Amino acid sequence: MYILLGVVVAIPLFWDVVSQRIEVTRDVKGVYNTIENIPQDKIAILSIIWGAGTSAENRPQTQAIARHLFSRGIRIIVLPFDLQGTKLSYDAVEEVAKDMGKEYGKDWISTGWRPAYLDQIIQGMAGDLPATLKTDINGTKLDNFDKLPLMRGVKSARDIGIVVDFTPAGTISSWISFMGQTKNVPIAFSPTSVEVPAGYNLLDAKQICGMLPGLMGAAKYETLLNHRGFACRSSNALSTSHLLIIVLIIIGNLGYFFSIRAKNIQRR
Amino acid sequence: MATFFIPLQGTSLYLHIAGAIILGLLCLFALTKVPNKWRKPIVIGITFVAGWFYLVEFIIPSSNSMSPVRSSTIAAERLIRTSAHDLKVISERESRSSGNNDQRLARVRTSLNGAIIKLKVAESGLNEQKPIVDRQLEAELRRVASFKKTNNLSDKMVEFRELEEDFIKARNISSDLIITGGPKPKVVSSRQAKNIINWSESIYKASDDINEAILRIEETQAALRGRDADYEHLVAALTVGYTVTVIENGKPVIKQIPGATDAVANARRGTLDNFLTPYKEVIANLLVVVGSFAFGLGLYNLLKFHGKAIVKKQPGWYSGLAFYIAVFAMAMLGLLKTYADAPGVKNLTKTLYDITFSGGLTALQSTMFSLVAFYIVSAAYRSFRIKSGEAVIMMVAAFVVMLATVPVGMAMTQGLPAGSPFRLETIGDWILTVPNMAAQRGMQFGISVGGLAMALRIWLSLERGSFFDKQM
Repeated sequence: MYILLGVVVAIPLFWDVVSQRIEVTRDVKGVYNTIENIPQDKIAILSIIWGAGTSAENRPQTQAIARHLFSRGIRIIVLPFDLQGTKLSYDAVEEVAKDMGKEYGKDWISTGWRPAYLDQIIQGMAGDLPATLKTDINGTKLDNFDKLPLMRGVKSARDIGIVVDFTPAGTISSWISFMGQTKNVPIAFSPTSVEVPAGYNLLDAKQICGMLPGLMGAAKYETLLNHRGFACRSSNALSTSHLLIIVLIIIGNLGYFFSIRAKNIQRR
Repeated sequence: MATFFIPLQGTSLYLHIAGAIILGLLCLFALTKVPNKWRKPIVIGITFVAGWFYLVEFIIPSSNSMSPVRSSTIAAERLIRTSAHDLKVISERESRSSGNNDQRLARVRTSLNGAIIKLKVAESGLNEQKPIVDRQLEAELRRVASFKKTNNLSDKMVEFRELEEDFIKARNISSDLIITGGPKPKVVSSRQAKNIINWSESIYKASDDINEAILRIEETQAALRGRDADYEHLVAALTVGYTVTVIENGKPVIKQIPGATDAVANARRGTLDNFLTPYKEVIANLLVVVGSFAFGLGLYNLLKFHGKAIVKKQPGWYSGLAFYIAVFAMAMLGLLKTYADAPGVKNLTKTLYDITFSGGLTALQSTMFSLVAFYIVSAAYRSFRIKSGEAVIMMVAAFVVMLATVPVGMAMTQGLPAGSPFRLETIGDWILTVPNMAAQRGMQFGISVGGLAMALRIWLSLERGSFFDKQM
């Protein structure tokens, strides 16, 4: 059974056999439309809470969003709150930046790891972003506009066009409380699949502008961008693994029913 | 709260750090010597004060001088929202060609006029604050200049020059410059200076926001005088705002035009600071420091636990040895990678760090999470049995949602017309957005109320924990 799972997941990843149509849902479109309408003079913040464990889902999401933001010329600040996520997100965004000819310091920066005191950091950022975050990942001060021209004119929440929270945990409430509701900054939720059901509440209450539900959310976003990346290729692996689980559940239940029937016959 | 302006460096910086560490250790030592009966109330008191600050800062209103601005912006926002609602109703009725909208239109005009009056009252309140802030700015600038002169500071000190530039910039924004004399300062208060600059910027930005709101209202009034008002656009102009594409430097650029209510709300929020607000940053830094101590305490506990296991050769002591090797190896590699200067050492440690971090730690953590997939498959096969009607419903819903989210499920029903309620993705979306959302909301209410009760118990130190031998 384990070998079977390994095979059905691995084969679609290595061989892009079938290119299936991916239907884009309204939650993903919400994020896309919001980013399409961000004014050019505002920045985007990518809040990175993920680490190595959930990188399979969150990394493609991060790259898809970064790609869209770069294509629109929106400056990006990567704000990691996870130790591993600091390097992983830096590598992920750097890969997209190099692909799109974007420069560190001019088009995007990473602030380096921040301890996960989200509420305090977000409140501080809303009032004075450079003073709260102080330096980037290389130790360069954020008010050093020669090395970090991206930060020119970026002062507070008024200069933020969107915050996208990539998280395997329920950290979105901090962004909504201190940035979304109080400062009217659009918040997008990009969770792992486990957190997706809870995100529909926020979507319905319009506390978030949209959601990227897990790896399929990233695949749908790549479809909107007409870029067939890792997420689109992985959607086939997701399909086969889900089918396998369904088949195994059906086989297990059939076996259960037949064993019950056999016992009843024996009793008679 | 005055601080020495010159940034610490060199010997004095290290002396300050050493002094802070000694002071911290003395505080801990003093706490251990305090009698038991006083120790718990002290800890309770400190915990209470830490939680109290944010609560009180949120509740306390801004100064009385801002109260006309606050109340006027609240009234203006209410009038604008009423107008927007009325315009929406007018639009719906006109599309159905039903009813006479003259009375409602008259109400819209009255509300919008009233909103402009309220906003002008708010603006005059802000204008009253400007000279006060300008005086403070000018006084700080004079203190900076005097401090610079008396201490023969070099112009090459970047932080000093930047702060001076901030003052000059803030002063130049003001149109009412009032010069006052003052006593010769001995120190320059950098935090107070930042507070004054922030306050000045917030007042001027609030003025801009109010003017923006007035512009939206006047645009709406002009449109209503015309024959073919686009009610949808007017509602957006009054509430959420809209986007326009302009040509800048030959390129189309999207600009966001804020709605009137958004602008008014921003103006009000910008002036809500009270006397505790400047200290939020200080408290946030303190919390980060205290949290870092918790990290150190956790590491100490782990070292102690595993060290005991190794020394006493308890079963599984080799895991403790692996822990020690891993902790010190990663710590040394990280420190050498950052601080080593010799090129050979730096390159070697960077390579080893990348191997241990990316190749080792990251890969192992991904592997641990990947095992979850196998557990799920195993659990689904062995234990997911249909033994009741509810289990049938749950299984069907699970199958539908699982298939609806993947391309193969979407492909199963792609022959049906787009928008058909029988497509798998439509059914899956309904399951997630209707019954799931209702259940999630119920759970969220319960979790939030329970969390609030638990937080209150912890804040008031009523919760039994390892430090307390009995409940207070």
